[in-house]
Amino acid sequence: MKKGMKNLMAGILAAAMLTGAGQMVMAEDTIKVGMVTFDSGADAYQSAYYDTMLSHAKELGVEIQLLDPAGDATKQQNMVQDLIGMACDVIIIWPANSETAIAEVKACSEAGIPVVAANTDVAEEGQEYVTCFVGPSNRLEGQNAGEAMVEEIGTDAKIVEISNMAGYTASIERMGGMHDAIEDTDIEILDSQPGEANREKAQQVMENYLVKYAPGEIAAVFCYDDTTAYGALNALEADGRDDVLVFAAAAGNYETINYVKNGKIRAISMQSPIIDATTTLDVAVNVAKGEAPAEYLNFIETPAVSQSNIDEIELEAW
Amino acid sequence: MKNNRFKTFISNNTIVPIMVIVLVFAAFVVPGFLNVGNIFNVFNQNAMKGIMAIGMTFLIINGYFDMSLCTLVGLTAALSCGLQESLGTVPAVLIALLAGAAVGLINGILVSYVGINAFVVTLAMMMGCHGIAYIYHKEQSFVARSEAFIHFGTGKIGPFSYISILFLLLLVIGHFVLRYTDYGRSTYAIGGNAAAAFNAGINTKLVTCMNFVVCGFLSGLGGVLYACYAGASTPALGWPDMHMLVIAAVVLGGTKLSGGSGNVWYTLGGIMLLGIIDNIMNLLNVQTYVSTMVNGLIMIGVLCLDKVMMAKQLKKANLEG
Repeated sequence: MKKGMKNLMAGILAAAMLTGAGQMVMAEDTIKVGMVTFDSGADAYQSAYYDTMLSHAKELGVEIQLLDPAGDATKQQNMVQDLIGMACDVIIIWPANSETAIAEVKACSEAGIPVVAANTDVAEEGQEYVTCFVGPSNRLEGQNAGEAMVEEIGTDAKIVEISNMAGYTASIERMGGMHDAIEDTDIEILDSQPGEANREKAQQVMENYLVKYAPGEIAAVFCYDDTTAYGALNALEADGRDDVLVFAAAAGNYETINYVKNGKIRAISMQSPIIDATTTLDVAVNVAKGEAPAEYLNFIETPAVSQSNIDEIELEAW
Repeated sequence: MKNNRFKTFISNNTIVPIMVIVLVFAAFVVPGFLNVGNIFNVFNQNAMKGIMAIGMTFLIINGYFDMSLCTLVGLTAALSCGLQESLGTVPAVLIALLAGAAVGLINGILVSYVGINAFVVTLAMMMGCHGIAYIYHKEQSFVARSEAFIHFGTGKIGPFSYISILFLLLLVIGHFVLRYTDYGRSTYAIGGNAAAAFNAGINTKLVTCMNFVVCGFLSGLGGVLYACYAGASTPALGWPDMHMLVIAAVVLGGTKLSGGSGNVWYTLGGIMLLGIIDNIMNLLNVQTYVSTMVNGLIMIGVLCLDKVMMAKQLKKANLEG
């Protein structure tokens, strides 16, 4: 038995040396990108983002270590520690929580690894440790879709809103952008209830609006994402009402293009996970090469589409 | 003789051979696993969970478990961050720890004095704490303001983080209490056979209640330490499966869910094994859901192995006797 133990120890030692040697051989010039996502299995947008990251890394010829904390902020923090241990050249973080990400970016900066914040920005206190942010501008999405709405319904109309979850940063910013777009008009928001980014809940909210406001009283309903807009459309169709037009701030589902083509959703900003992921990885690879972008905020393109221009805008399906 | 002692040691500590297998596998297959920095990284990452698992070990040896842990950590993290500005750091942390102990006390009273099933009580408490944490947070996150608080979460002495040193200290204290005090021995006795323990003159209700308090307090401490580590608290901290991971680590280590046997070193083994597997999966770039599944498979494997070895030992004991 004693001999067996000795052999075992020798085995472990040999293994240690082998892996050590292996690492030395592996140390080449390929750029190693580490990334923690938010919750890649949660929705179509995030899983397309995940897949695009992998395929685009292959196209660029960089090594990528892509970890998914499934929405758990503490798990994400541990994963960032693991990425630091793997000596990545750059780390991309899609914060599971903007505040707890402060500690994550601080740890990277202490280890001397540059950080790119993706899709959602780190809270202000942590931004000094971040090289740059790449992602959609929620404010612009709201504003562009809002302006498209003003173009269609005119500057003097009454509308209702279906908001998203309270405290959800993206939704607050989109709302800010939309309200900017109608600030100088006489458009009045009669009602604003939360749809919680949930189709069924949004449908309920819309049904209540339709009972409350008779035909002709409201010109449009503004939603803050496409899932909410689907719910609102369902309620309108069930009631046979076509006097209320549906607008929405931003779309993450590719399916939404069909709703725009047949005019059900009048205008919306399209946010493509493919553009989001490829732009982010391109910027991160540049950062690893020492070519950081000049600006801190790097917004991806999120074109506002409507029935009239949808055919001109080319978006790869996801 | 020596050979025999080794065999007994292995069959009493199934976690040890399994750990060796995993380590050897990792050393061969996983690039970057076997360096000192990474091993300490795993230990430091899991110290918070380990501290909570010590409390859970006490309770499981006593024959119960506590599900409220998973939301209690969110609540105490919230209190320790949220009260900093108005009351100062030390009072905020003390209040958070007291809240943990208080939740444990309520659990303990309801289970041991009122006599309600522990599963139901702690499940209800889990929902209660979840609600309070969300109401208190108002769905926002709190950022810790105190530099000292954050420094405690991220600071290190040598390769050990402050939190992992605290974990080691609590392991030693936990070991001492379980092994050398009346309280510890009573805990084993109640878990083994509550009626016999009662007949032997042990105040079973009080000891059980106290073990709930220990578990609540250490869960609360875990929450506070997570807030130090992250420098912020979120209402979702710990939700939805922190209690499961902690109970899994305790049971994986070799402490029996039926009570009466186990120790804190087993728990250290369980925590490290789960931590190492997570780390390996991350280094190998394996998708999260695969890694969760592997965790489940390993757990079933370990428990089967444990059962087989126990059966062998019993058979042998019977033959010898």
